[in-house]
Amino acid sequence: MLDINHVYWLCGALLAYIAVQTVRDRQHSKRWSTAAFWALLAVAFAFGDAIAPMAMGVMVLVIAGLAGFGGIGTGNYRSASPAQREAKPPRSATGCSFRPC
Amino acid sequence: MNYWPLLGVLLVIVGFMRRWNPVLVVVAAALVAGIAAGMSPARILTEIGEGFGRNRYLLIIILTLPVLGALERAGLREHAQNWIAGRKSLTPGRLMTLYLAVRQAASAIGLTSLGGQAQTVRPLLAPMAEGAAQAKHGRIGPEIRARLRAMSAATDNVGLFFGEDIFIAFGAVLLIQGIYAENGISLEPLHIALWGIPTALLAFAIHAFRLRRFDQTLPKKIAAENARGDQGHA
Repeated sequence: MLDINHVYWLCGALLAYIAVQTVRDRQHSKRWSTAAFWALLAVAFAFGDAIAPMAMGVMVLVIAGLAGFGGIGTGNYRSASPAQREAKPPRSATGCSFRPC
Repeated sequence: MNYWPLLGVLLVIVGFMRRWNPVLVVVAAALVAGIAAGMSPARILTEIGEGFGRNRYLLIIILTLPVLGALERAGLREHAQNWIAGRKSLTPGRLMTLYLAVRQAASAIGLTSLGGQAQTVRPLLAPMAEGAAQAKHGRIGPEIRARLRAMSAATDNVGLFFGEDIFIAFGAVLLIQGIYAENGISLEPLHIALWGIPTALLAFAIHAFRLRRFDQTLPKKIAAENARGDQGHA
């Protein structure tokens, strides 16, 4: 049966993916501390019930420290340029255009 | 009775008033309150860890981010801006008033997740407000942009907060009933919800008035910022 833990695993997987993408973004100004933030959050999310509460407390402090002392930056992540976004009419998976008439 | 743990509350108030980094303020407040209550460091860490584990469901909202990211990559924000720029009569304030009405009405029938800072404010409402302001007033600087975004987010909050109290199956309504029941006053949830309606109407009127004033004072603020900016560059 599906329960809340499956949702947590999914969140953990998403956060881990963000961590991997951050490591791969070589131009990222705060590459390693940002990746560490997302990776720790991924572990805390996915295995929250298996980790001893005290270890979890330490992780939370590290996560908060990374976030609080400016350890996190935004990277480029190969995102679309403003010109690309301007040009491309948004389309949904079904091919319907979001462009209002 | 030991009142020293209340230092944590004081730290939160001072920290937010002085606009220190909120993450650090909250964590520092937890540590201060824990130490003041005579807890051992191990116990404090355990409490923090347990609290995070119990409440991490609050962060499930991140699951919507890939969808929003895909839409933004396809230019949703830019297109929302361009579309609104073609609607000349829609000022930022009028746009937000319209959003407020829809948000409040939807929340009143329990559809609280239809909107939100992540789902509708960032990808739609804020860019539309910026587009409307640009179409009417031309160039807008970073300060006005931040003001428009903040007002958009605030509008969403007001709509949600005063709309959801009308819905009887909402947690806060049951909380109000529970607290009154504990003190020997029995109230029907339906009545609590009904009496939320005058408050909701007033909240709408007050915020709509604020948005009107926001529209009226916008040209002046934009001119002031642009003048300052030009001086800075000269």
